[in-house]
Amino acid sequence: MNCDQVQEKLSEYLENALGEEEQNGLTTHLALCTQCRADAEALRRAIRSVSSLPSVDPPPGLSTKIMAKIREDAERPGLWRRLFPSMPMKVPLHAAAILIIGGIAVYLYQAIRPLGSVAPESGPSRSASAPARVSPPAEERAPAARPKARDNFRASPKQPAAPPAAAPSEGKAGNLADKNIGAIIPDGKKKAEGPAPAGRALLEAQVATPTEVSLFVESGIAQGDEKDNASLVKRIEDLVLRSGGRIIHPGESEQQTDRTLFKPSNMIWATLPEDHYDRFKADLTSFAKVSSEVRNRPAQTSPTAPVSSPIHIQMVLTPKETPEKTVP
Amino acid sequence: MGSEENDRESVRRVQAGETEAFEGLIRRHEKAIFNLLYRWLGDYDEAADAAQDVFLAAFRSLRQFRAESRFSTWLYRIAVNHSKTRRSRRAKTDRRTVSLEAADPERDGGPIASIPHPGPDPAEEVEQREAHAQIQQALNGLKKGDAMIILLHDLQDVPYEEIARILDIRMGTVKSRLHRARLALKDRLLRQSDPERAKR
Repeated sequence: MNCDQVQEKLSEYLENALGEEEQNGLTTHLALCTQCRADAEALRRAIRSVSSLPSVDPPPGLSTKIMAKIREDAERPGLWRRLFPSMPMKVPLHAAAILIIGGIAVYLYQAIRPLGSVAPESGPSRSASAPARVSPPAEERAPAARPKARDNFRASPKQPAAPPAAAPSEGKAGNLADKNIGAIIPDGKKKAEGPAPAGRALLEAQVATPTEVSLFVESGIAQGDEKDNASLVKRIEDLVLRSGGRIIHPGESEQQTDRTLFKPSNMIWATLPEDHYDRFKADLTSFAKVSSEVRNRPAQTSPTAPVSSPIHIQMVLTPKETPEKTVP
Repeated sequence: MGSEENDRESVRRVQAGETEAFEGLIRRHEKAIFNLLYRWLGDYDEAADAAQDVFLAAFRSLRQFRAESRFSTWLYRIAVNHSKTRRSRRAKTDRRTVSLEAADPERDGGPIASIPHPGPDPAEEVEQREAHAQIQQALNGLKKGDAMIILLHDLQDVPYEEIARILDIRMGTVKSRLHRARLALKDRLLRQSDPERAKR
């Protein structure tokens, strides 16, 4: 064995804890190696020095003091009981916690739950009211509808486009927003007669309504000189025809409502394939100034909605300085 | 150290709610725990405080004690952990540097002073006390882990297996650590007694 190996085993050697062979090997080495023998002796003294330290008595009464603290500790309620002192009613805390948690859960559910099924849209309410609002005979309604349509057009550039009316039937009044366009521009499509369909049928009917656009075209002439609009009107009508559309004249609607019998002279009604509209508008702007455009596109949610339905255009020629004045 | 049987019975009674049964555990292990703490902390009063804390901690956590190990092993573990915490909280320039003038129960009329020493020669007594103080000083200068393992084995005669459980280390590690700690102590004692020789 070499000195390093001996040094590693000295502690166990001194305790006689090695195997016989190893123990003898160290004994032989120590007999021959002065340094290792000195180290072994120094180590032996160190071990004995610790074991020879006298046992020291603890202070008198230490155990009594300790027991006093322990008795005090045993009598003191634990943290749980300090936080929750006994209550007159023996209500289990976990039951109370369950109630509290349940209450919070109910409150949160009430706060964040969906608002319930919303009516498909305001249509059902309209349809529900429509039968109640069966319009008076057309003769009586037309005069009232006319001014309101004009008022709407005056303000319409700034109003958001209203959804199209429900299938206007002969007796259907529709709401004011619908009259914005639907009351003036006759539908190019044949609509069912009779009371307006309710609920989903109404929604689908609306979806089938083509897009309606109001274009406000600055006539370039001062107000009061509407007769000079004729040349501009002619140009616009020619453009409509060239764009694959057609002009709708008063009375052309199959519904033959009084509303359609009247068309202000500064208005042009036309229908155009929707995919031709952009080109038409670009051509229009080449010779006339379009001051604003109000588009009323119905929601195309129905899978049966036509891909490219005709677009109904109402062009309103406005005076030069006040483009918002539309109806004389 | 108290008998293992008595310890098990006392533990059982305390766990059943009989607080007074804990006193028997204190009396059987008080001296060993106190001495371990005294030799490790190097201060008599602090060792007394630490001993109170150790036994109080043992009482509070006795519910978690399982009879898988000896009660003394479990109690030693509490004492080791507590004394480590205490020691690390103390300032570096603390009273652990025991001088020959420091309070020494052997010298200053403590309980041990009243016990007649083996040697009749007072000079011999003084020499012994000085030697003990130097040993204590050497222990104080060791790394805390080294001092603790020496005290457990060489002072308290705790077997290797129990030391392994107390320190939560393997048996082989106990032996190697003990050997290194003893070598460190040896070197310190050599430096104290013969600085020139220690340099060689």
